[in-house]
This record gives sequence, C-alpha cells and structure tokens, in this order.
Amino acid sequence: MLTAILLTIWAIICIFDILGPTVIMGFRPLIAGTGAGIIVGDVNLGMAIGATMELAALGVYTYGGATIPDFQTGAIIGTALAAAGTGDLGAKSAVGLTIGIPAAVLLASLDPIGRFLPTFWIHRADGYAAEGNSGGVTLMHWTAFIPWALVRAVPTFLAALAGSTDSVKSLQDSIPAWFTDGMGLVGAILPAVGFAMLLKIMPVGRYWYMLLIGFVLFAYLKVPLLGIALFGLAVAFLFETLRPRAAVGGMAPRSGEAT
Amino acid sequence: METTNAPTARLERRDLLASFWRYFWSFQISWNYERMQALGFAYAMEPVLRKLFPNDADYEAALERHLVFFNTNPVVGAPLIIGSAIAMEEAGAPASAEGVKIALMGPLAGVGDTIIWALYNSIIFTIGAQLALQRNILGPIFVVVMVAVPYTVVRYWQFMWAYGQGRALATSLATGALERITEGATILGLIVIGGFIPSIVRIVTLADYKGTVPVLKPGGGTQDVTNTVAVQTQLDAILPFMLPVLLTAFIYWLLKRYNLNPLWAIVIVFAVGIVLGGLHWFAPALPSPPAS
Repeated sequence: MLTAILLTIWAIICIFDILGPTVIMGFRPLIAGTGAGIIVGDVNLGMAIGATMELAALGVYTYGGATIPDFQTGAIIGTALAAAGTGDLGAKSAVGLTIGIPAAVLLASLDPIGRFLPTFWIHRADGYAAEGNSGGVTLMHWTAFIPWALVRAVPTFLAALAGSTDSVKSLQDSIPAWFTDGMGLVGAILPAVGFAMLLKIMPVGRYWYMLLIGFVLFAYLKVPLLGIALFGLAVAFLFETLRPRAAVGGMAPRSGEAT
Repeated sequence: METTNAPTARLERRDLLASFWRYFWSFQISWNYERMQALGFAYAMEPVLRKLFPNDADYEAALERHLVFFNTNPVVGAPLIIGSAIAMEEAGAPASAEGVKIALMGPLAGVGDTIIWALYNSIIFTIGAQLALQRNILGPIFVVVMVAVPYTVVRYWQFMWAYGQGRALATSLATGALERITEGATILGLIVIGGFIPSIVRIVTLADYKGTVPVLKPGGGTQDVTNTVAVQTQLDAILPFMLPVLLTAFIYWLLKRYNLNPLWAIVIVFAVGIVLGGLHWFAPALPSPPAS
C-alpha cells in the first residue's frame, strides 16, 4: 500500500515536471522507470525497463501538443508489476515490458481527457480576470493541473495495488514466448513512427538530401550520433553562411544549394 | 492602437523574477485543447501587469488581453516571448505585445521542437538509456544533469535577453534572422534524423530461402546441392539498414498521403510487430551466430 502511494506521488511529480519546471524529464520512461525502481527497491529493474522503453519511445517526443503513448505510466506500472514477478533481472524486465508497452499505448486514450477538462477551468479564469481577481486566476491555473494528474495517478495507483498481490506470478506464467518476442520487435520498430511524424512536419521535399548525409555518416562511416549532430551543426552554419552570398551575388546559386 | 495612458511605473528586477518563476514552475500545468498555454501565459504576466496598471480597469483589460490562445515550445520560445511581451507592456505598447506573441509563437515552436525535443533530447536520452542498460545509474543521472542545467540557463537567459531587447527584438527578428535560424535547425534536424533512422530503428528479417542448384560431380554427371541463403545477407549487400529505411518511409507515406492519425500508426506498428516478431519472420537483430 505504501509502495502504491509512493508510486502514485512519483507519477504526479513526473507529469508536473514536464508541464512546469522541466528539470528531471520525469515523463520520459528512462527517468520514470528509474524512479519507480528506487521506490520498489530494485533500481536495476527500473532502469532496464525504463531504458528499453526509452529507446522504443525515442522519436515520439518530437513535438508538443500531440497525444502519444503514455510511456511514463507504462514504465512505472511495468516496473511495479515486474518487481512482484519471479526470476532474474532479464525475466522480470521482460514481464515489465510486456505489461508496460501495451499499457502505455492503451493509456494514450486517457490523455485527451486530461487535456480537455482544463477547458472548464480556463472559462472560470476568464470570469476572474474580468473582475481583476488575481487570486481566482491563480487558483484556476493551479487546479487545472488536477485532470492532468488524475489520468496518470489513478491507473498507476490501481496497477501498483494489483502488483502487490501474487496475480503477477500467474500473469507471468501465462505470457507465451512468441508474445514476448513480438513485443521485442515492437519496441525496436516503434521509433520509426516517431521519425515519420517528425519528417511529416519538416520540408523533406526540399531538403531530402540532408537525410542522405546523416544516413551515409552512420550506415557507411559508422559515425556515432553525437558526431553526426556536430557535423549537422557545421553543415547548417555553412549553408546559412553561403546562402545570402549566393542569392545576392548571383554566383551559381543552384550549385551552391545542391552541394 | 496604443493606449493613451502608458504605464508610469518602472519594473524592477524582482518584478521580472516574480514573472519568471511563475513561468518556470507552472507554465503548462493548465494546458488545454481550447487555448493551450493561455492561462499559463496570463498567470506569468500577472505580477508585472499589477505593477504596471495600478488602475483596476487597465489591469483587468491587460489580464484578459493575455488570456487568449497561445502555444509555443515551453523551453525555447515561451520565455523569450514572455520577456518580450513584458517589455512592450512596460513601454505602453500592448498591441505590440499581442503582435509579438502571434508572430513568434509558431516559428519558435518549430525551432524549439526541432532542436530541443527532437534532436538534443534524443541524443542525451540515447546515451543515458545505453548506460542504464549496462546497469549504470550514471545513465539517468547524466540525463537529469544535461536537462536541468542547460534548460534552466537557456530559459532564464532568453527571458532576460528578450526583455532587455524590448522593441528592438521585433526589428531584429524581422530582418530574416528567425527564418535563417529555422532553416538551419531544419537542416541540422534532417541530417540527424538521417542518422537516427538506421541507428535507432532496428529490424532484420530472419527469413531464408533454399535454392537447389545442380553441381557437376568430379566423376561426371551432376548432383543437386541445396544452399540456404539468408535474405538479410542479400538485403545488406544491396543497402545496409534497408528495412529500417523502408519501414520509416512507409509510415511517413501513410502519415503524409492519408493523413493517418499518429496514434493509429502506433497501433498498426504494434499489431504488425507482435505478429511478425511472434512468427520469428523479423527480429530487432540477428541472433548471435552459434560458436563453431
């Protein structure tokens, strides 16, 4: 029970952090899972589940405002339930991922509720603003966080309570091996959705060849990601430095753009 | 357009800090579909507006003015726009404050989402997750340090810089600086995504086909020899990381051509991944070769 309450508080801290101070990025599964691991007394388990889910989630955190799988709750629930399972770290984290990733996808359906309900709060705030009531505006601002918190706190609390019984053991036994393998593939290919989402809002038609540069650097030259980012930074600066000169001076702007 | 009674009160550092900390701690906690960050913006502006408009009617009008739709990147964008809006309200130019909000929120959301959300975060979280998978607690710690320190510095700096720029900000951004920053961020973004796709999306096929070919026997005549050929080896010979590229391109096409909801794309990938992975036709990586 105490564990369930602590996990619920952690879930609220995580979502508050990303909406406000943004100093721990608790809504990302790596951090949410590690915190949950500390609470259930198995940091390595929380890190393993959080990190695996993090690599699956990379790319979906690309722009604000969109509803995406709730990997925060998925990592916390997955860690809480896996801690009640049996076996070594690998077996336990497989259980955590098998529960956590589908939970994250399913719980995405609750997120819009948390984003919709504060609409009522802002209409009350309109009234307080018209009266010049700053206390009322402040109250509306802070309490509008309640729906955001509840859609994550309630599932976390319920799942954590369920995890303190031995239902996890029977669940663990009932998960077939093919499902665990399938989940492994899902985690490895989910980032493709995130990158596709990001590409959709970028001018790919105009700058498609920039994608090739990054691809060649990694696929053929084996440059690590940080190296690719630094190279990209240099190209971006070079591009922006050369561009006006080519446009103003009229010195073969086409070739300048194509290189 | 400008009010006839420009504020006489001058803002002090503590007024700016009061606004900054309100933004810092709670900017998006009242985010909603209808007006998104509007209430957070008004809440951050409130202490400054109270100081500038001792007259209740002016104060009420100012609060309502900043309760309109607003949405941008909360880390890169929002502090800059709040700082700028404060400077313009202090200068008695509320119409400019509204103008700067409308003009900058879209472009800065693009810059912030690309540079901070998509690129910077993806890089530090990849490093952090890889350390964490080796049971190294420095993984999550690294991420928290690399978020907490630079984000806070960048947010504070933007806020104070934009306030100091005042009306000059609108002029300097109007000379095309913003378009150049956006374009540079786009170029950097596409290069990094080009590297992300093969390095982070992991899929190989475990399928193979058996080809039977007649081979000449030393003593004459032929003998049928059956070779097992792994499809993945053939694909790698054509283009390394072909499957991650094709998969991402296919999802991109679905999103772009049919305007598919991203959540549906996730559900589809989820279902297809379970089936293909469960059947062992595809896997994240080839199984390690048996020791021989």
